[in-house]
Amino acid sequence: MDRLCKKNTYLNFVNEGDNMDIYLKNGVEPKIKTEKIKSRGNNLYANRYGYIYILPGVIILALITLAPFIYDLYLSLTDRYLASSEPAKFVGLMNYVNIFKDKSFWSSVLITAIYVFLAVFIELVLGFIIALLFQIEFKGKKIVRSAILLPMVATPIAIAFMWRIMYNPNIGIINYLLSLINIRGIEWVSSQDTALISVILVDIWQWTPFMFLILSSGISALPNDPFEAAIVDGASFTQILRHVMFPLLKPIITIGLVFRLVDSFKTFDTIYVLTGGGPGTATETLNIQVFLNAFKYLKMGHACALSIIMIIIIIFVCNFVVKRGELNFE
Amino acid sequence: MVLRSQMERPVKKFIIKVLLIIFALIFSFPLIWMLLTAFKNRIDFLSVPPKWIFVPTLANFKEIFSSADFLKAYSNSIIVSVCSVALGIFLGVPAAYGINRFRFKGRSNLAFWILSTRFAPPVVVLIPFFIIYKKIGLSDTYLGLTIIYLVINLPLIIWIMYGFFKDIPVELEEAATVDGAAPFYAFFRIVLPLVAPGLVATSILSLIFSWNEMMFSLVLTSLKTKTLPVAIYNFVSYQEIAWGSLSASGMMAIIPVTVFTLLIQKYLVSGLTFGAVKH
Repeated sequence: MDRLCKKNTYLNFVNEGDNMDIYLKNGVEPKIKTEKIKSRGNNLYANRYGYIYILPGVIILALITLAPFIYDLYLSLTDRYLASSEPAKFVGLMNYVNIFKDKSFWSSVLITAIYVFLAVFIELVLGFIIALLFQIEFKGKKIVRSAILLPMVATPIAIAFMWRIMYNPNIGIINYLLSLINIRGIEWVSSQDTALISVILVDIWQWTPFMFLILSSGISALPNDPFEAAIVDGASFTQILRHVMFPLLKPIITIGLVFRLVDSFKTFDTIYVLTGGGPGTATETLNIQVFLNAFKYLKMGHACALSIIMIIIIIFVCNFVVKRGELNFE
Repeated sequence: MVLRSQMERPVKKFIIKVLLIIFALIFSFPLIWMLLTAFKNRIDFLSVPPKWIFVPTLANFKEIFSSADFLKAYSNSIIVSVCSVALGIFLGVPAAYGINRFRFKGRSNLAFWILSTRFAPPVVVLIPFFIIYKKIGLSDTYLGLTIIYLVINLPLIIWIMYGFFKDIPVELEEAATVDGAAPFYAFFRIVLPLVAPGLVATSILSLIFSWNEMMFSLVLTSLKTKTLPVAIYNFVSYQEIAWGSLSASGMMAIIPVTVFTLLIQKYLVSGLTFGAVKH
């Protein structure tokens, strides 16, 4: 009996309803035998089948994103130049050092910063105003909404060319309309001074609807109680906006900002078609500079290093915004 | 929305309506202008001041439709977009299902990594792909383009479908399992039909992005598989810019996208923010 009642042997297992006195008298805790849940195939939470669902997609995704990224990282440490017949040498961090010494790099950082922050900020403000205005009910609301959505989805190259036509200083419609109110001779994309603003303007036109869409979703999902309480307390419209609506909208604004900021770093189609990075380098954002270095000048090593720096900048900006927006990922 | 009552006083409401219509016009103006330009002949196009009223002509459209180059590019775009989205759906939908239904270690890390691929600049993958494709001969092929388009489509499809799968209660599959269903039965015959609308919306959204894509095809295609955006880009040469053909083909590019957008308007927010914002 003593041997049978040794602690922690499997003989401690009893079935429900058994006489447990023997065990209790000897100071051993009987364990009720329970059915161990084996991972059967058709148990939903069985890991085995989960892998079959997931692996093809995940493996392919890793192959086409991680592998190229690692190659990119490697290339950034070489001096690969596609137009030369010499094989690429490993040069370590030389590319990076050269970039930081390069004036054109810093100028493109400045251009990118102006582009990204100016465009996104105006898109946020404008989008918010339109979203707010959109809260009223009226007939034809759906048509207005559809019209507002178009810039985001229309093929960017077609839009970019259209804007180029409209921006033409001589036959373009924009200068014509401006001349009606006595503003003359803006050269838009043809001049180094105005090219960046012209490009930013197109970005604002294209992506304000995005901010509008997100913010209008957010606003219509807001709870009514805080607003009712504020109205009862006699708050004015602007006070309600600042102290009730804005804090409640912070998560949505953060999401919009993160997406829009990152996407504006990645802008290519419109800038490339409108100005190709010029005139000169007036609109050469980091992304454009990477592209030109890789596919026009064929300096692969240099381009890759630039792209790695770009990624790091994007990560920093993202982190900053997310931390300040106190976003909670679900 | 409680503030609505404040804003809907008659005078205010009228002003707001006018403002909104002005905004709608601003956002649709370039497209309307493109539509008008596509029907103008050369003289009307170059006239100063720009003409609003003119005799429309189909000459531009005739020109692009008789260009084998344009037609080939158009069909290339269709082929590559459809194939890439189909492949993305085939790989991504089960993946989204798996991530949602099965608990495994590193699940949230995997989800975060998939989300992070949305934030990477496409140039980063383009340079390696360019070099590798040249070596293994996938340059200027449908397969090559289809694969690299997955970089855009696959994360999108996985993340959005994940949101849709989340809304289907597990009890349905559990009930099927209890009734003795085979392992994949529940997925194919029960869950998939339920997410069908989401599936359609996701596919259309991916189609839109693939259709509009230019950077990858600019670099990775040549005569054989040139897509529509690249063909449009090629209407610009050093001597002159073929405005007529440009606007006509621009219209032909934008019309399908516009139609599709109107179909999936509801899901647009969710699609653009990877499901972070739902409507």
